[in-house]
Amino acid sequence: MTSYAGAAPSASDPELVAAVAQGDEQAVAEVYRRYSGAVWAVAQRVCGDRASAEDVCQTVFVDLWRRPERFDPQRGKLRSWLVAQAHARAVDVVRSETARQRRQERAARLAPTPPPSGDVEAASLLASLADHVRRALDRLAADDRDAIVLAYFGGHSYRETAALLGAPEGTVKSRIRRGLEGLRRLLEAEGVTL
Amino acid sequence: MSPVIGRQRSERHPLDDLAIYALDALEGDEAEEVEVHVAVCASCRQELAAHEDALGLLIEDGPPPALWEAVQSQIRADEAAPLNGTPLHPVGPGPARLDQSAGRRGMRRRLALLAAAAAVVAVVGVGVGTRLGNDGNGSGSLAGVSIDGPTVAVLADAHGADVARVVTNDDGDVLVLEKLPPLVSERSYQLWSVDGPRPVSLGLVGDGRDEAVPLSLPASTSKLAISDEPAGGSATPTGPIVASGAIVRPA
Repeated sequence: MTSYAGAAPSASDPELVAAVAQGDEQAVAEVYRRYSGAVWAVAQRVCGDRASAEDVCQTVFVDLWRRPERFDPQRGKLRSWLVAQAHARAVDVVRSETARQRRQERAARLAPTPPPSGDVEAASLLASLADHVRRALDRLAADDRDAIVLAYFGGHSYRETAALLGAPEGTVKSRIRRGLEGLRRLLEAEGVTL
Repeated sequence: MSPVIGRQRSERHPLDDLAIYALDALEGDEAEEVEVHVAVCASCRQELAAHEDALGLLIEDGPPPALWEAVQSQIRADEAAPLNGTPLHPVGPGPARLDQSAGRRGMRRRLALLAAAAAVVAVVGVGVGTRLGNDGNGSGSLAGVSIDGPTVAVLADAHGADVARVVTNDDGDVLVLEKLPPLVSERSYQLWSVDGPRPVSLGLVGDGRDEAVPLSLPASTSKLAISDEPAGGSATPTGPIVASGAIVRPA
């Protein structure tokens, strides 16, 4: 039976990770209780399939157990760090060789048909987000927003994002930075915090 | 000096690349250059953490997934058979260190990921086998619904692979779920029009075991998406978008 609830519930995140480094299984169970919902959410959004998301989610927590020293509490928040770990692993999954192969096969099969346009994919990704997230993203310039949505939620590299949007790579780089900085300002202004 | 938010690009701080790195949208040498810089630049580490905090706010907490027992099995297996014969968790805190080779996208991490994935397969192998065993059982479900006729929409998954299409014939429009995997019980695929600012539900389209679903698409619909939802459906998409594409009607 699941027995992770109740372990060191009052400990701070850095205290928990320090306890994980000491080999305290209950501490990693408590980290799981606090943040597996967020880790799972990002893995599922980016991977798009349950089995890969499960692999990603398990790997993130097993990795925290194996190498807790990789989290530096001076640098950032545990939740953000775990979400970033999960995102990186999920992106690895979608960019795996299998995915490349499938894309090539599809391109060969559908050569005369134009590829799906980035704005359709961005619109469908955006549509799947929570209201408050969509509201924040909608306050960005549409070009900046689409670049961020395709890269972060679609798991596309900035080069792929540029191709999907039919924009120069340098332009997309600027849009991503401008959009991300804008998002930080908006979230800060609205007092949205972790 | 801190690379604060601003328009000017500093020679010393690769701020464009840092933002793209935070989105995991930088690859290869470009990603490594950022990792090397971040390893030696405290202000860029801080900037990256601030980006990650903002991105983390885009992710909503869901309920914990039912994976704890699999995680627990793995960490107990680690304790029983420590890597390299050395204890995994020595007594006393180790020094905090920034291990460049174990950066988020570093080769060592990829290898660790593969090893961990192999271990996951070992732990949940029975579950995976069961899932695969249920696959490919959709034949015969096309009975009564023709899937002939011109294709008016192709829906692709996040990898760009075609997984579903819409054909039009005497039965009206028919959604053909060619390659969407069967869902676990109590989940269903739901079709959405994503033309406007908010997605509009076009109904539940089965759990991936029925391959052809007759539709009545509003004439105004031109962009479709399919998401993975609880069996009763949702008012707005809550699960991952598994396919999307545009409708192109013949003139």
